[in-house]
Amino acid sequence: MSGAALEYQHVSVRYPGVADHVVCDFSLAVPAGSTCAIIGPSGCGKSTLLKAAADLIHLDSGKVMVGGKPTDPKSQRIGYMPQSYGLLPWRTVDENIALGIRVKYGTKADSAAVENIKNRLGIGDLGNRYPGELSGGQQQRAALARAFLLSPDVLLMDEPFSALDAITRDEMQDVFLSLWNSGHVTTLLVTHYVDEAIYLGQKIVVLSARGGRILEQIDNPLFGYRKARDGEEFLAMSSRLRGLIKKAAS
Amino acid sequence: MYMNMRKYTRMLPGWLRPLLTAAIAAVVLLILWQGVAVMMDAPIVPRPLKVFERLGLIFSGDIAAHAGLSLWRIAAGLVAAVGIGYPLGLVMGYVKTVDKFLAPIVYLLYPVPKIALLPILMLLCGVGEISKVLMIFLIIVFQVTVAVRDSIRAIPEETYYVFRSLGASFGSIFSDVLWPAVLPKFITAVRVAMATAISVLFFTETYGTEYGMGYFIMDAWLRVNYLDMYAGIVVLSVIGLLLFASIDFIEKHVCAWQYAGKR
Ligand SMILES: Nc1ncnc2c1ncn2[C@@H]1O[C@H](COP(=O)(O)OP(=O)(O)OP(=O)(O)O)[C@@H](O)[C@H]1O
Ligand SMILES: [Mg+2]
Repeated sequence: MSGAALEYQHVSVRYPGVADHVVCDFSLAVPAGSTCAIIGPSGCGKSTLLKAAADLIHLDSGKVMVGGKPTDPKSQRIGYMPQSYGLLPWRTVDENIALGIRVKYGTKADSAAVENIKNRLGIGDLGNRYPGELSGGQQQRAALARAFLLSPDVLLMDEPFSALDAITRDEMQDVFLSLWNSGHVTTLLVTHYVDEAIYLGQKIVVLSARGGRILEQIDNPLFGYRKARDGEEFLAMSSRLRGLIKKAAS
Repeated sequence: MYMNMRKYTRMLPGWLRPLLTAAIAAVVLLILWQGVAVMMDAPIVPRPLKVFERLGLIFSGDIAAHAGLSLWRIAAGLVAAVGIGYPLGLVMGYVKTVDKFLAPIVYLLYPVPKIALLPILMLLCGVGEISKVLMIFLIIVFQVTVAVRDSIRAIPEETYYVFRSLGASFGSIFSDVLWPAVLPKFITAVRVAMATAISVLFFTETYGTEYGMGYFIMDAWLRVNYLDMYAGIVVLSVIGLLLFASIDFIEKHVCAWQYAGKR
């Protein structure tokens, strides 16, 4: 695989009734099989960018390419995970996990594959429960299972772990990485946490507070290295990012 | 005492529990009725046993036909109201511009006590079947429309995002999102409207017809036949009970997810 699996080309977005562009002339390439973390002040347009990639909102100008073609949910496999997980409360965990395949292809998901991914995520015996009967971490696991079962061309995750407590968050980051390592799906994730960006982003993109402009794009050597958290490099990277975000917000 | 009862009822199979509580309620009511009848010792409050005896005599020959016609009117009104109210609420909830135009009309008509429209209905449609069914229709249709629209509006935007990012068709959004999201409030609306519908039906059946539970009870009253009258009241309340019980039963089964975590 070569080239960018996900590429923003001069994307501008304006919401109806709002004069200013939320995102203005945004360009970014995410290489195939890599992860990219977007970090920036609240309200800077991070969620908007993910929606643009999933073709959920109208673009004022520019386009988003997935695998070299304009993004199109009908012909491409786009894994979109909203912040609230997007599980259906009226479907069981099993049905929720299989939903992606069922809606996409109109076929039943292979039940062995569902069992397999559930077991890998440690929710093997929760298949018959409804989301309302799960903890936040378990819901998150179900949402991840659904996203990965689809084996998407690109995976878009909006603040995937931010509703979880710190310990569960660490755990879920590890779960995500282990899933990611077995397929290297091209992933764009939005996060509020500097630590999370450093652990999960091979590339880290810092956005400005207005207009969704890229302040800095960093190739992150500390990706996937949990022990890095105690090292000097991590501290340096972390304070560099924090400085940038502070600058972005001001 | 309550805790103790729960402990014992818990040992019963799930489907038996509501039946048991209903039976206990019925027995308590009958005892009260018997008590009042014995105390008053007047024909206006006959004893339950006599009423049930009478009911056994006249049910198949007489009351059954009245009850059947009343049920038919309720069913016809309900089917028409759901057939129109459900799709209307769906479109209003799903398409904002439609809601903008229709919401004022619905809000204007919704609070009007439908019984106040009865004279108009009778002038327009006569005193026969149509005005009776139309009355029930009018009572239920607004509740259903508003409940369906509100439940659709309460669906978080993110739910649609997941489906659209999968390239889902409207059919799939309907069967996976709209239909299940609407069910609980829809069923509740039908249940609430049903209570009003039954009492208004009783009222409309006192004119322009010689069939229906309303006619039967009023006729028995005019004939000063209290046993018949009470038999009619018993049948009417059993009809109500059966309607409510079946709505409850349906709700428990199709909306099981609502009780998730509370089982
Ligand atoms: N539907 C909408 N209509 C109008 N404005 C909107 C809409 N959605 C978002 N916005 C505005 O666009 C800007 C960017 O929103 P977005 O949700 O992309 O921010 P974000 O970076 O994801 O923020 P957060 O970190 O708080 O999630 C915000 O100022 C927001 O108020
Ligand atoms: Mg956001």
